[in-house]
Amino acid sequence: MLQIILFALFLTLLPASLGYLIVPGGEEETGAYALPAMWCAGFAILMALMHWPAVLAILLGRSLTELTALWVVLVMLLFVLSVIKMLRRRECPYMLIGRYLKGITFPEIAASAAVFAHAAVTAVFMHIDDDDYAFVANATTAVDTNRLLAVIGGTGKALTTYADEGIDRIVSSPQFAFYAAVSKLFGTRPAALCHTYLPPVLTCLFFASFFILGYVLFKKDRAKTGLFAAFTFLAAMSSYYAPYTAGTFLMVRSWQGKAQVVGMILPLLIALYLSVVQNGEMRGRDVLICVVLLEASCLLTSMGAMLAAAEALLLSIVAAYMNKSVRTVLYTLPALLLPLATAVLYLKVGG
Amino acid sequence: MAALLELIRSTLLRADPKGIYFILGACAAVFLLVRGRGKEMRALGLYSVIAIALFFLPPTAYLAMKFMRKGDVYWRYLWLIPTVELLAAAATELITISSKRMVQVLTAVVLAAGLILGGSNLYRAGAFEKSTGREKLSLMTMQTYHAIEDNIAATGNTYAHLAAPQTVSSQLREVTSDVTLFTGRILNIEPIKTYNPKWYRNLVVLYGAKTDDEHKVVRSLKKQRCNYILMYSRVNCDEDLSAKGYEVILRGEDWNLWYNPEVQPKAKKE
Repeated sequence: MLQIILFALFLTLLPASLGYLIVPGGEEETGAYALPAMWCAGFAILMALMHWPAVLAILLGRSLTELTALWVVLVMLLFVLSVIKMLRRRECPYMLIGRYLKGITFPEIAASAAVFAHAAVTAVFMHIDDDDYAFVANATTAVDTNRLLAVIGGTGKALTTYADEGIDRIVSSPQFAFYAAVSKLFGTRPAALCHTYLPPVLTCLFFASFFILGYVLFKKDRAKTGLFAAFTFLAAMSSYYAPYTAGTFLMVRSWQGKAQVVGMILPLLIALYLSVVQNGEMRGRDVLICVVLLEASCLLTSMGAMLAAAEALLLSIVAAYMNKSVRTVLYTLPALLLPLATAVLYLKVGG
Repeated sequence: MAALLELIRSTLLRADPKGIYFILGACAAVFLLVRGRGKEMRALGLYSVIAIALFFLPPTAYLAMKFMRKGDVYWRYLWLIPTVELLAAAATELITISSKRMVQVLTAVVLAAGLILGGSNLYRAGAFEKSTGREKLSLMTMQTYHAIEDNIAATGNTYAHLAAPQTVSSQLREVTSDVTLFTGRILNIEPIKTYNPKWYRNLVVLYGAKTDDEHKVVRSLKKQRCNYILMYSRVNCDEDLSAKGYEVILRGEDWNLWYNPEVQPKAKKE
């Protein structure tokens, strides 16, 4: 029972607390969507904090226990900083739920109902995908052996080089390590975590990102935000004409890194740069959020790291053009160093 | 150049066979750029139009494909074009052009119908099926897993090297790492040069259709030290398997799981 409660807190209050460090909670700045924005940012922070520790743990042959311990320490450090910030400002970001609920509009309620219904579907029903061979099998092997990529997860055979069976991209983007660490912490099996417990949460996370994008796009008009979110749901739901569409990934394969890039990272990057267009300039906090999002994408998938970086660069150019200020591009360039480092690592490991 | 353009075209068709959503998304991008209310809307439109243009432009397509397994996964570039968001933003703009509630509702209904009819509904297309449990793997996989675990507990023989069709071999290690697999996901198998290509082709074919080389495959699998073999009933292998010392430990709907206690792992060199 305690593990269930801790797991629930891990999925809700913890990300919100972490996100509170980088997302402003002011009415003027983030308005009604402050708490959802913090929650999304917090998840990105959790993922970002795992990336380089996991890469180093794999390359240095450290155990899953050591990696999990290090990650927990980093997360707790940030959590403590968040609590200190709350105490100093006498703020409780969780209470921002009241600001969200007050003034909620019918389109938002309708869109949210559709999202919750689909979240329930992902929890109760199943979609089997052969790509899990890379994600879930490696996580299961890591949990069972307490070692990271000691063998090829999909077959159990000895690993001779990282280029074996595409393992090289798993070294540079070890999303499986995130699932392995969470499974180890809460005593669950990676298959159950990925296929049953996380999908409903990830579904809500993805559509929270769309709500936030709508809120920025429609200048805090909540009725239009709800309408926008409802139509993103309809469009995503109707995207099953091919297995490669963004809608298919985020609605059906939410636990896979590609889905999280498409459903959360890319929309949040768009929201970020549109807010830069709105504000007329890119602030330090925006750069930090950009770094977190790009670093999270580096954990999720090697392709996602490149796509997210390309999107950030292109968006920064558009924002610079709209604001008539090249500073947006200059501030974005350093944030691209982490995906670049990931790409270099991928090429080096692959040989 | 022709090959590149063909690759671009085939990528687009692969990602959107009918092209409806892509065209709608492109139209939405142009609409937002030209008629979007607010600079945020126009910024989204501008970004999307540029992203679409770069997808088709040969120099940028060529460069992008170099990083996308020589174009094999170039369809992932299309994720940079936020089609879902574009359609939703354009729909919202169109709906809210009029201030009359009835017009807004009618517009919303028409646009929603257009989106639904123009696409493919994942619920109707069978994206989800009834769950087999919290792990959510195929019934065949779960039955195989339990049978092998039970056999390990009963015999005390912890060596478990399984040859199975892709349905099981691509999933089994998601639920247990006690079993090693002769093949994982077929696409990710070791380089073909490791095995006799013809023999390997027969193995792959064996799991999908009838072949006359079943006895050769069974002999080879034993040589590869597979002490567990999952075979479809339609494949005429029972005599070969029995002759090689395998016995059925589980009968599935249209498949059997065979086990040979005498097959052991290769002795490690001192």
